[in-house]
Amino acid sequence: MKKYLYKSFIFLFICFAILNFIMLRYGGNIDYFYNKFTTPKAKSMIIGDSRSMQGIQPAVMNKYLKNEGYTLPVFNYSFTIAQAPIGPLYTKSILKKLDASVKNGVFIISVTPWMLGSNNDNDNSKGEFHEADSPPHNMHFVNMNPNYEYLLKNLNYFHFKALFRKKSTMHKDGWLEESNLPDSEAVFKHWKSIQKGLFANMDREKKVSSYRLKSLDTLVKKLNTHGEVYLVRMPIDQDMLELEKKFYENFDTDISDLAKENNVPFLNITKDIDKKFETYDGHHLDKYGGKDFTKYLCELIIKNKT
Amino acid sequence: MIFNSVVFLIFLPIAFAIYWLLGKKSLKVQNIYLLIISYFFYGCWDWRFLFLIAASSLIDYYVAIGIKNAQSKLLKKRFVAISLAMNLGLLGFFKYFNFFADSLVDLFNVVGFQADYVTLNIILPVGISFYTFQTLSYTLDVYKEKIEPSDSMIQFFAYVSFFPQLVAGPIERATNLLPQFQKKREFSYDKAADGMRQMLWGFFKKVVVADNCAVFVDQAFNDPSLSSSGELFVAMIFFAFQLYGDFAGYSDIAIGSARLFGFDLKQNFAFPYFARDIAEFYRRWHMSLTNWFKDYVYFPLGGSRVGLDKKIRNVFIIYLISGFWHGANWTFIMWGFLNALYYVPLMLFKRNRRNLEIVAANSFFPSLREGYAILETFIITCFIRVFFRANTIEDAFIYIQRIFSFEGSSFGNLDKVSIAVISFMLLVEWFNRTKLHGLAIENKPLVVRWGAYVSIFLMILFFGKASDSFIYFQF
Repeated sequence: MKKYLYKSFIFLFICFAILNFIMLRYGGNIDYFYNKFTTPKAKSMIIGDSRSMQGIQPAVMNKYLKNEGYTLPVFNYSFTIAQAPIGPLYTKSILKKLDASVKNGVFIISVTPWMLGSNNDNDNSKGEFHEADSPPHNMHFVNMNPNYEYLLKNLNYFHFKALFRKKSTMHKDGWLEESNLPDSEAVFKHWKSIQKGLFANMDREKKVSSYRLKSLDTLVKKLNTHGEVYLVRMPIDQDMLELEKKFYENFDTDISDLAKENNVPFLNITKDIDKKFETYDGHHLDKYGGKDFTKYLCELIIKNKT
Repeated sequence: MIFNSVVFLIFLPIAFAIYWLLGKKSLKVQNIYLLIISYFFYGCWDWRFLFLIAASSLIDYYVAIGIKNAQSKLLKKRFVAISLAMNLGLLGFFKYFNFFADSLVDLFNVVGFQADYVTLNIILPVGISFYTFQTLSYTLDVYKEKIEPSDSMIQFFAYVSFFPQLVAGPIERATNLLPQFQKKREFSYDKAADGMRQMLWGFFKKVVVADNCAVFVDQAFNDPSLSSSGELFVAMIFFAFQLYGDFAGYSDIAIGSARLFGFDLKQNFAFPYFARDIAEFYRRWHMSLTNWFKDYVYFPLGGSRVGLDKKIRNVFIIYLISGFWHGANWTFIMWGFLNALYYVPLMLFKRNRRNLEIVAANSFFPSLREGYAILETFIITCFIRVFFRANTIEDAFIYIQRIFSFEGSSFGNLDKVSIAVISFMLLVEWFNRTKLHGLAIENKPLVVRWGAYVSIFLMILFFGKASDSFIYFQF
């Protein structure tokens, strides 16, 4: 038995060492979200879905806001619509990731109609949330490196093979850099049609949840005690915007009301028709468009600073 | 709980450690512990069906004692009938009720009677086809006096529910497995180390080979009209490897896990894709089921020691039942029928027992003739398997028709990873084709062994895909 245990231990140790090395060295390449849980608690945050995860770059914010008196650096704690729509679960995770001692942070909450949608068969008031089993909600430890809890609970999310291509990189500041961009108009159109298909599906399968809207209100109130909160509606192509309007017609009004009630700015960039930022699928800003947008967002923040 | 899950990777070492710590005490402790962890393992999927396994075990336990104690042949037969009725009744209800109800209504409608569809929302208990056959073989073997009935309920319950093979086999005969529950297991380094190797190879086959192939296969079979002839052909070939990787991988993990606990399960796959004819193929594919049908159906029907017409009948019966065992769908019956059709000429020309040994047993390369025979057998079984995979018989015909339409010349966006891992698997298994499993490399130098272990781990890490089931769970 001793010989068996000894050899098994050696084998497991080798496997463990390899795994550890990859997770520490290439954590941002093998999983879209892993690095979100390996970094220290955040002083300032970007909250939202895949749009803000790719379109708002903390490095740019840190550069432009460094003399504005905020507690930096900014950390992008955005996920995807499927995983982390606005709701009590996401709020709980945000508060877990937030450094509670911060009093003067800056918090960008990227809001979209889909972020306030719930599955038709979910009753949020009874605690039914489609995102319940996904990260970040299944994570107890959000600032541990390497994070074995994430590995054990979310092994399915890992794509170790991606290490060879490195087309997507999740940076240590939480920004997802997507380098796989369309190389022709035809590819762009194809990708956009896929996104439209997803929107159409969501329109069928989801309904606007007043529970999530209330939850957004709670989130804003809680973050307000740690610094300045900005509600932001990021730019997307006009036809995609129409689909969002179809799903949630009074979205702008509801968010405006909520912002006024909490005395925070609502920066609705979709209304800045003279501003055009590049997307790679009509929905997500590409890394160049994201950089321009983040810079523009910082200008707006400085302008609106209380 | 499934093998390719993190939960199992945590469960197994804990179960193993406690087993050998407790196991020092007595056989009874070993068996009680195995029973508990086996029920826990199954209960993680759906605890309600534990009652079904318990009921099945309980009835067969007492039926076997009844058979032993019965004074007359008639009474023994009655006990066997109870076991048959109970096991086949369970299987029939859970697996075939809706199939028969639907088929009957279809038949009524064809002859002009209007009948309503009455189907029940029945969940198929995982592993029911496997453990009912296992308990059935026990009572039949007791009846045939091949084995004494178990005098310990714990032993018998642990044998029926033994977790490595409970869900998808191998279907273990009482004659092989039950005696192992009657003797205290001692830890054996060689056995455990080889079990680990076999498990590692099983994981590779499942998560690397099968689950990579599955992506291409699912795409092609879900809507063949979207794929070119070349793509459909490749998907058909990939399906063969998906099925093999999935099922043989499961068997390897099951056999390997059992070895960690001191048990020897029967080999379930013996490199079937190196078979030179269909007879050899089924002697090497899902051997525990093939042998079950041979011993409990084929031989009682007279086997091959009857007239030609009955011989042919028996072959068709065996393959049709085998098809039906796989699932309540006409596609499986068609699959069985085509296998029988492919087998019969071999039998007529008395060539069905020509290839009993593994190919090129005494050389490294097969002869040209053998190579051709392997390829031909493989391709034909692939075509037959289209019926196994398709949702309906009509879909299968459309699929094959589309392959031969030669529409769209390309092979599509061929997944290089799948091709590479299939080639690697075939190469490794070719080297070890005379052994009990693909990674039986205990006699190789240390560097080769450890190089292989680490390489396979890396391949699993980099090329493995996560799926939440095994194909044979549905059967």
